[in-house]
Amino acid sequence: MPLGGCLLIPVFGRINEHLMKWYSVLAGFTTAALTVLLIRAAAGQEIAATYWIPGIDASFGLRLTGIGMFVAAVAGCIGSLAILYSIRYMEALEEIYAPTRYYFLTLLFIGSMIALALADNFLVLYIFWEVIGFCSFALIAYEYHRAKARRAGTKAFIVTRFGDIGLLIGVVVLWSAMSRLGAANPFSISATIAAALGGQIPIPVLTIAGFGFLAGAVGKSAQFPLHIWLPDAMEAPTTISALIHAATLVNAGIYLTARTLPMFSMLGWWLPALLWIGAIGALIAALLALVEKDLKRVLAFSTISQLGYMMAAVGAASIFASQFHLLNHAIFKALLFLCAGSVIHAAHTRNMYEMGGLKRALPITHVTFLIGTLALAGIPLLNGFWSKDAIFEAMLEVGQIGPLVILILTALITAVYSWRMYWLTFQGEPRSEGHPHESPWEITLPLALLAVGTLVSWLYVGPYTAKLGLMLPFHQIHEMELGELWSHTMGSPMLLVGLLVVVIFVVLGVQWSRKGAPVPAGPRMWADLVTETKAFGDWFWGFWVVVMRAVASVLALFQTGDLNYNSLWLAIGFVAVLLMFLGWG
Amino acid sequence: MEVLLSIVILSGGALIVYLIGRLSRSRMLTGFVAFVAMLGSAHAVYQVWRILEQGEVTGWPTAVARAPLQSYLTGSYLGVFLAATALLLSSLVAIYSMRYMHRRNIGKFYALLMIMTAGIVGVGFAGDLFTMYVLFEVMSIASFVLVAFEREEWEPVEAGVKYLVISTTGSLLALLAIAIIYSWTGSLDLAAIPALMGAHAGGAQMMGVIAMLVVGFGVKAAIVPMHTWLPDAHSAAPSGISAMLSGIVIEAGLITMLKALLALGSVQFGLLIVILSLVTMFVGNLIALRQSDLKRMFAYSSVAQMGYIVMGVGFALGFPHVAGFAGMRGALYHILNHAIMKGGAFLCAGAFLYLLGTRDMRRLSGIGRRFPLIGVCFLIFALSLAGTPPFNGYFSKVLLVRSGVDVGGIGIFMVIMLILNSVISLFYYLGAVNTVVFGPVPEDRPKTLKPLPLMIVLPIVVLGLLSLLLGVLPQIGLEIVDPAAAEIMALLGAV
Repeated sequence: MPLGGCLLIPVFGRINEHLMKWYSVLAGFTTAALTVLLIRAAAGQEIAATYWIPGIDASFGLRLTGIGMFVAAVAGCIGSLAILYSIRYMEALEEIYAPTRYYFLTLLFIGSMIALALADNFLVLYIFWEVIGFCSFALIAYEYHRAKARRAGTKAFIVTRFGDIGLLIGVVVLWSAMSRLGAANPFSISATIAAALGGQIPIPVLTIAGFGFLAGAVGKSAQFPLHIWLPDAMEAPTTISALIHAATLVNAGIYLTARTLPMFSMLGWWLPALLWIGAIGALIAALLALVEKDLKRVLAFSTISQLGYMMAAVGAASIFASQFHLLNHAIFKALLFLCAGSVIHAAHTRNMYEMGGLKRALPITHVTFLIGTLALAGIPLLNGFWSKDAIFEAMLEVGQIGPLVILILTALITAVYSWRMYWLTFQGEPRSEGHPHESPWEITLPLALLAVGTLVSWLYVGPYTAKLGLMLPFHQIHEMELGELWSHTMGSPMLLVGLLVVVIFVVLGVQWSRKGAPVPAGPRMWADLVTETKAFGDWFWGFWVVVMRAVASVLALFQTGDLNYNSLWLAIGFVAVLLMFLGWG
Repeated sequence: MEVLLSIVILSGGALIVYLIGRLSRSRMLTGFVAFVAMLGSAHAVYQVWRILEQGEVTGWPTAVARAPLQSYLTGSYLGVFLAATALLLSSLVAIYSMRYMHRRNIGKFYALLMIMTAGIVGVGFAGDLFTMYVLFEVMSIASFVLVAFEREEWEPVEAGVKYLVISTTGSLLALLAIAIIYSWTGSLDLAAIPALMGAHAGGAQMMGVIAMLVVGFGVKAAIVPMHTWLPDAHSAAPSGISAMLSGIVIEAGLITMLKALLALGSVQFGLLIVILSLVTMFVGNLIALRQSDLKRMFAYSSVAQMGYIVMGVGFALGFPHVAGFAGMRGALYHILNHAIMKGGAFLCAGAFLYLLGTRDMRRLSGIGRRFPLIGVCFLIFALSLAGTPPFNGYFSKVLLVRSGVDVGGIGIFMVIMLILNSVISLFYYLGAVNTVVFGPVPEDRPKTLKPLPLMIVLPIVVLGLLSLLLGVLPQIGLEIVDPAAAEIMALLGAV
């Protein structure tokens, strides 16, 4: 639906700009309704397997899996809210940049994300995986007059594609193995998983594919060490950050690992690798968020950190915990980003040190942001708490103490940085001139809806697990009633973490309300150095750029353009090839 | 008969087109006649295809009427594939050049374009080494002149001479190899040679001959280190010709090499060709990173793309039973895709050159925004070249990766290098897009630019749509690629 819808955007854009915008809102909400209906209707069946490329036996199949459906629903629902929000939010930019491009790419993105989540075909999954990567690139660089935005978009695209090297190899390796088995549809995800569980796919193949998929997931979900693109991606319009870089695209990696978990859990190293990558990434990102001054970049670091939780949860073989956290995180992080957008709209800066005291000017934004912050920190009874607790439980069950300790530590740091972020923005005295005012209803309505979602989404756990269990035959998920979740959580030692977070909030809150918000006295070079990912996170990127430039320069020395040298190269080439062939023969 | 017709229409048409150009001096009329002749040739090629589909053979002269040692043409799926690709691109270039080229010498230009196309079509259909070599040279000589077509300027002339010297050296090596083969077997017939090789098959001398063929035709196919002529020639030529050179001429060089090697029977040296391809793609991509000249950047990227194609050919020759079919169809499909996307990219670069008179990317900054249709197509071609779905370039790469995976071990390493290369190439493709489409407009650019003629926009848009179409529905391309790949693999004894 949105895929077809996006094609109409340029047409409407020609007719009338307003018409186009409201049309995309309509398309967004229709999509959302459809995805939600899918969840109600679906029971693991396969739909619409049409012949696509007979030459390689590829069919274009969709399958409603439990995980995929919820990822699709998140994309549809949050996407529609983000589009509604965009209508007023993007107005300021419309004089410079054509809105047609924005709405086209956004709808294209939502459609591709849903297709990715529902695809039952590795090749289709790979294609849409790249399409969402492209949409992300184009939307980050939306404000193309700014060189920074252009660079950030390029970086995001290229860094994630380093991970995609692995994904492509993995897909092709599995394809090769499946067609050797004589499968009717060698790209089918469900058939591949079944074959792997049946022991028909050799272990070396699984090893290569497992490594490749892991690399792809690490790139897309911004995990250590490929996390460096996400903070820079905050150059995108805030709606895009909320939709793509918090709620949907970055979940694709988590979705992929969760979907293929039954297949790769046969490899001994795969689950621990996920655990440790997730845990380390979560800790590093949380530490960086502690000293960041840019509101959106704090949220970006916190996204990396929360994605680390989800990945670790997959590593603990707990699909329920990871997917539940994915759902909850998508809601509260989209809420936080959209609030941040409202704040930036009002305050005209992204630097938190220049904000402060906004709670009076932006009452609705303030309340919703507070709810989001509490959920992020994991204060009991908000949705973030339940799923985070479920992750800790899962890790305790599999006995992974090392990552567990790291993640608990991270949870405490999360409390500190999220509270700091809230306090710097809304509490205290205003630290800059200007008269901020509350945003219009198109902006506050999505905020209110998401805030309600943050408060109550955990109540939905019963039907949620029921659906998951119904549609994932290989994942062994059992239904969990609300009461069971309640008693399980309240009775576990991990409740202590939640209580500790409350204590941190109270202590810091009391201290900051006495002494004022924690604004540093002067510019802090080291903090910028660390968080701007110039020195620390960027080694990978910088290394490649430097090495390639150097090699290219050396190679260019041989490309003189002088005919004599060119002929010399021809002669050398002939001698080399001759020697090679003679040596071989 | 149809085979001969497909070539004669082009070469005979070239004479008429030259006269028309000389007498009327009308670019539109001359170009239109050339375009019609190409359509006629395409129809003849289609007839050949239909005959082959019915399981019959076609050729000229027919096998019955042929004297020993007579040169002949024969219809084959490989020839149909090459001819179709060449005619697709050259007919679009014919439209493009109607307004792009200068009025003076327009007859010569179209005549040479058609002769070059005739050479390419003929190479595909040639049945013996002699015919193949002659038609290969017809193609080459036409292309020398076309590179140096704007002879008032120094750069094209220098590039043309460079191309002439190096390419001729290569051709002579290949001719020497052909002579040796003839002295061994007493035959030039591509189909008959394998049976006549006798004691020479597999020996060190044979390897020497193979090396000569690889290097000789490899010059045209721009395999590193025989690629040195390419960046100059491809960037200095008129843009339509750059599109032809990069899109189909170097690939025709590769197919000539392939046909000659196949005549020597199945020999296990594919891995060496794979190694050459690895060097080729790294050199092409890394040097392309440094270019500030748009057309030169695309020229180096052609070297890299040839590396991908040669890798597929290497897998097919080296491991015909394991990975042959996948590698060959990947290589052939990439030839088709490359003709579309690189042809389109050069035509875009030509459109910018037409508007601003420069190929320097910094001075072209932001021009793609001024002409959004061209800008969008430029983006499509760049992404497609970097192998991004849903544009056509990714699918052939997936096939190439498949062949490497089927080889296993070293093959997997090679294809990892291949994908790594396509990620490296993103640096310069996206860099070019960021500058040419999204970059800031320079201060000194005139406020009003001349309008872009429809005849320049149309071929670019057609190629852009084709790129999207083949990306979404790759089966369309496979229909023409698969029979050709199967035919070649049958020659290698693996179906």
